[in-house]
Amino acid sequence: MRASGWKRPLGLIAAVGLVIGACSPGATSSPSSAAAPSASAAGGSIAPSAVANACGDAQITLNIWGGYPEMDAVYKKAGEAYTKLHPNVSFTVYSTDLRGFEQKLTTALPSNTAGDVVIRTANFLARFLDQGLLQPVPADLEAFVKGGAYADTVIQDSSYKDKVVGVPIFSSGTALYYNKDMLADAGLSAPPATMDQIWDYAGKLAKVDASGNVTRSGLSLRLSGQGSGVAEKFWILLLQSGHELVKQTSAGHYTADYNGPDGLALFSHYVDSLQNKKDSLNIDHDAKAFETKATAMFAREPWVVADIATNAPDLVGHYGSISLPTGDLGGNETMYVPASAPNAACSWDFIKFLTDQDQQLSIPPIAGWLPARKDLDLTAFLTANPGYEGFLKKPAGMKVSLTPPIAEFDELETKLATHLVDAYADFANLSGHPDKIQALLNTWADETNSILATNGHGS
Amino acid sequence: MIFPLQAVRAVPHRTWLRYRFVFIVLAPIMALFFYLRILPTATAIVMSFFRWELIKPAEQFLGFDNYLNLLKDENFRLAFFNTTIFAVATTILSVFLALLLATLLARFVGGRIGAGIEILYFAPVLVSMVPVTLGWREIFNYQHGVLNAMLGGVGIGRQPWLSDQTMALVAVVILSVWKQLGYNLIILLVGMRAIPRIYQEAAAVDGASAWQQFRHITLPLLAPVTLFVIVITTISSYNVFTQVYVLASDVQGAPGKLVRVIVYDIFENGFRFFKMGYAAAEAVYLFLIVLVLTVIQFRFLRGART
Repeated sequence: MRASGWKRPLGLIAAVGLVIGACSPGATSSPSSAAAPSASAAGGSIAPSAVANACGDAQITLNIWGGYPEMDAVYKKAGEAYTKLHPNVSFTVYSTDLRGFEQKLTTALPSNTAGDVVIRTANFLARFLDQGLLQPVPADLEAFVKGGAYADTVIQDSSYKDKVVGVPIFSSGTALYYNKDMLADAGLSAPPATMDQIWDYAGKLAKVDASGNVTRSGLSLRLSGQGSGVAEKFWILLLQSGHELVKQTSAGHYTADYNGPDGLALFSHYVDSLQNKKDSLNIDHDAKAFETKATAMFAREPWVVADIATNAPDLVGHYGSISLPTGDLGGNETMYVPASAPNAACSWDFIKFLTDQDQQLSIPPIAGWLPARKDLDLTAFLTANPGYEGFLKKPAGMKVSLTPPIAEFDELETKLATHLVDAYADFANLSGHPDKIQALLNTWADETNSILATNGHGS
Repeated sequence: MIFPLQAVRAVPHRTWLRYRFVFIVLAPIMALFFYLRILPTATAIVMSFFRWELIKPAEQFLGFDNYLNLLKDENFRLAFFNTTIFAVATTILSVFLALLLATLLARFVGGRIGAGIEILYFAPVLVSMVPVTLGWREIFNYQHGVLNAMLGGVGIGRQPWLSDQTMALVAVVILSVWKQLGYNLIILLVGMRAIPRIYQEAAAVDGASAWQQFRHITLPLLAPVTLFVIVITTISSYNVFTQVYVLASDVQGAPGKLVRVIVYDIFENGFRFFKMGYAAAEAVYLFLIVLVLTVIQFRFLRGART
């Protein structure tokens, strides 16, 4: 009796020990490996084209991870088509908001629990590439990427340390959306073609009520919000004067580029717009403002076209988009296979499948983003969807800038964004005071340069 | 002073035998507590002395550099200031209002109506912070928010709840007090109902007014419960994150300075900038701040009770 009284607690302790042991990092098995049969093919060094059937015959589930939920339907559709060719391969698609996805990747890649195919930019994944947490791109795919199907900027954006590190799937870009009816009401017959015209139009299109409150902005500026978005939007407008947030001074070395005369002029436009009631901190901004007719113009990525069709269908046909005057910020989502992925050959084969023209052409109508390949005929698509004109018709000589391939860029951009938000809120004290603005810009530039220097990328 | 090991050795052998079942039953949960709480905390303290990236652990031993650099970090100082303002305002308001409501409910309302009111106040506690904050973001909306519409009804102009630095902090305090109030109310109400009525009846016979009964009987006897409520509210207030994160999560979001609370800063340094050692040092500071405040509250309230 006494002995049996001890056995139960001891059994309980042993069970808890097993639970704790199972929870330890070393004992954790990845979702991928749990789903994959042990006999599955492995080894990133095997190029898909070199394997007769990269996915073998055993049942395989490939987990596709991305940061843009609207792309899920594209992956699922491609997965269904791929399953018809390889009945033993099934798919799960997991996407969440971009920041949440980045945080998930940050913990999942080092702990070998990420999906079989992960999709994000080379810039974000630079740290992980340095640590060997992602597989090298197979030789045949690398040759394909470099073989003329992609624009040079897309190849550059998918490269790290002069080597292609991922396979591009879809691209972004920014255009100016404008409400045709509002422009017509203001006597403006064509959309603005230069930055001076954009600022001029912004003043003509803004509306103020009898109490002096702005009820409609002319140009909806990005003035608040967390993360780096505020600085990114500032950067996109800064590109129109030929400047970057940070410019390269020599290989691997950068310096702040936003505190010169053009940066000062752009920042002055922001605070002057608030001071002169062309925009307001208190009204809605961005796509929501455009869809609710609280703004006449705003600059954004192509996903807004699909968003308008869903949330503001009455606006379809009453708005247009036009390319920004001289510069754009390229953004290219790129596909990778984690180093620990158990079905690497099959994963690369599916990535190759996603670069197929049919799959690429399915991206704009399903998700609203642009295909990464340049050798596609989108004429019919543009005719049916004129809202994409600003993204598909770029002026000759348009310069496409890219996020520098330095891991600390997000930190310096996020910190600049915080400063910008605070300064915009202080517009009344800054508008008309270029000396104060210049002092602020210089202080922020010092911080930017300090972050670059700390990480070995200073000039 | 007795050290824990000495204290353990001082326990007679027969006591171990007598309570062995208790120790055995407690062992699994203590093991889990050690594994899930003590070990990560100790690891965080170790990390704080290193340059420790999320995917490059223990790169370089830095000693106290992370702690010293934090003291010079404008973001950290701002986060500490914002969090303290928020915590003080939220704790004072939510405890005071809960005490007031608990007194009214305990004294004047009972039965099903009382239970209904309690459920009503407790309901926000049960709802996840994210949907609640999304709802409040619409309520605070400058152009079409319910709050500004109600203020307009009584002749007060629209307030920029989410775009003005000061008003944004007020908005977060309002939201947080609304969320915390029900929890504090229920705890204080249970505490009040546990006070034997005989004391108040005796005081009433001696001619004590309602206020005198509350001041000299209810409040002193409620001190341990009040202490608990204040400590819990202070700790949860210093750990504020979700509200400000969601309120600032899109382009309609609140200003940058408001977002800068300590946990947000830890999150950003750790999971956005990958500086886990730096973030760990920040977390240790937060732990020390809350620990010191808790000790002060214990001493103050116990002293007052004595």
